[in-house]
Amino acid sequence: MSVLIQTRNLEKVYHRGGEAVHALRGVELEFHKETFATIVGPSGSGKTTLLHIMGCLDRPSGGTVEIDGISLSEISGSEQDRIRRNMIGFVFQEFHLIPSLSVADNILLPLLFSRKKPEPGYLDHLMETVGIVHRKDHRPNQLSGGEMQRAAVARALINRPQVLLADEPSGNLDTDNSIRIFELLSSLKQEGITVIVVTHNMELARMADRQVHFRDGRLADEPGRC
Amino acid sequence: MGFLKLSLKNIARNRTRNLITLTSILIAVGVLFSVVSYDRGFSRSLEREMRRTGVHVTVVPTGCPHEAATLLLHGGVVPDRLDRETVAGIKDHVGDRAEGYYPMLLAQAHDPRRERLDLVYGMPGDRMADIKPQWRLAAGAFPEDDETIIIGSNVADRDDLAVGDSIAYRTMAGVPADAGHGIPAAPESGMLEENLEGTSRNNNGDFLRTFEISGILRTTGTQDDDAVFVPLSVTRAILGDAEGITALGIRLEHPGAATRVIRDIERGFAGVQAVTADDLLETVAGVVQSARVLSFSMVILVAVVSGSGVLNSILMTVFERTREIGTMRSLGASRLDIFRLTMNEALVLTFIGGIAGILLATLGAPVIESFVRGFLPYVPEGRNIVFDPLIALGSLLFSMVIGVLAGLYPAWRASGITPIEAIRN
Repeated sequence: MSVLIQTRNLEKVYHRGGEAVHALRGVELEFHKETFATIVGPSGSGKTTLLHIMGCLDRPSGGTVEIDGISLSEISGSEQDRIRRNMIGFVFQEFHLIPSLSVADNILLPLLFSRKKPEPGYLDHLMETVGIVHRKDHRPNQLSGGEMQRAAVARALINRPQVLLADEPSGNLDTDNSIRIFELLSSLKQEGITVIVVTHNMELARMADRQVHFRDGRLADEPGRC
Repeated sequence: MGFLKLSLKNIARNRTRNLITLTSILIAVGVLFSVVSYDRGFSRSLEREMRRTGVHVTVVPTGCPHEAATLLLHGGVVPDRLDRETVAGIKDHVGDRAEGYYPMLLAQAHDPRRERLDLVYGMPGDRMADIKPQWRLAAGAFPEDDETIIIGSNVADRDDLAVGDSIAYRTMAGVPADAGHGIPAAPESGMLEENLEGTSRNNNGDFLRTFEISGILRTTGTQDDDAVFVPLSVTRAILGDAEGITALGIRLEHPGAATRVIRDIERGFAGVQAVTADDLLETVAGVVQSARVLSFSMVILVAVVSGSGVLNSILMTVFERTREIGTMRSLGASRLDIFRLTMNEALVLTFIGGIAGILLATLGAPVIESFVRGFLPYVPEGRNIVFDPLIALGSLLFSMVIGVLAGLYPAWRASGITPIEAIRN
């Protein structure tokens, strides 16, 4: 399988109160297409920062990131918008659904920004896949945490992205719902999607094809590399 | 779902705040629409009314041109008068060019029985309808002698007066009713002393003379509603002036000759000025201009206040939804998309507020008109606020301009929110 995401000597430095905090220190990583990988590590190890940079949400202080051969460090902000719109799907720990919109409208929201019309039946297919078709017209506040996260996964998939990035998707869920979400994410590689998930939960992380361990902004050992 | 639907849903989330913002826009646009409509309607009505007067040239003693306008339009009493010789000389000078003369004499008269101080407008009783062709009588008839009068609708309503009732004014003794100008006015009696039926003499030697109301004017919406119209002899008797008149109206055979007639009069007679309806129109328009400037200043002020309201409301929304905006950015929304969404909200608010303001101002026009009549010294009769699609469109555009100006800064702020900043929020 070919490489989809590649980082070279990736650095990220934050300046807090005049002090430089190194979130990433020379990270070198490759993620292949159609894999399910998890990034694990203690809080502050730099795993979320890496996810944000790979997702064009943040820019590195040094080094390079490439997605499908496109160097993210060299493109403009609007190009980054386009990549987020067309290549990447995001799932956040706190779901980030828009409370004033129905579940269906939340899922369709990315299509508004990509100026695409929903493919006939695809919304229903997605909702069935994530198991919330009965919640189509409900508002997010009428959903359980697990349902909200499944709606967020459906929203991340509506634009048929090449890669899905999830930041602690089970962080606000109970065990059953966490397992369901991870099973759902794991199944996406069958659809040709590369899934990269940041998690604290080692048990869930083991469901992935590959686990990347982070410590102090650096890669630690990496069991199960594929 | 489109951008507009998303903006509408966002607006619906803060109903109370947006309702307050809408109200401020509604007021601004409503005031603008009313002021512009009223201004336009006023000018049209004024011109129509001035053209309808049967008098082409009005001669008054030299003084403030406003007084001449006031005189013809019933705004007050002019202290100076034209004397007998001057009037006779003007008539000789104008000669055949005149079709008719209309001497006018204004006075303020006290009716002790009603305890009212009336504005009494003296003119030839048989030619009142010529001077004021727009008048219609609600009841009765025009005066037929110098013992009968007509009154404005407000005078009748205020004191519950009807045709056949009487009004009493104190008149001076010894004033010949038709002294002076030899003007063939209404049938006027000779000496007042000879005509004392229904009168009583007081300790000062004056007479309290009663006049029968022969007619009541239909409401004109002008100051005529608050005046009493009497034969010329009556105002002479009230003022104790057997000769003077406040103004001499001249109806010309050829109205186009007015400029030459005016020039002849002003060259031939010192201390008089002659004006046409156009001059009066200009004078009244000048007076109205001050009110117009004040009104437009008010509109600007209200617009600034409502614009600030919109800006504040949208800016608060942006701050409250920072995380949502960041989420949308992370889902692929461009800066322009966020700018558009935020700007849409400002425009939707001002559009709805603008439409509501125009509707309310149109529906409330009668109330606004009666309110304005209480302030302006002269208001033409009839409806002055008439719905004009162009003014409505202009007002709506004004509202949208407020929306654009007020939405620019919040939209710029919103579009500058980065996904990472919002997610960390």
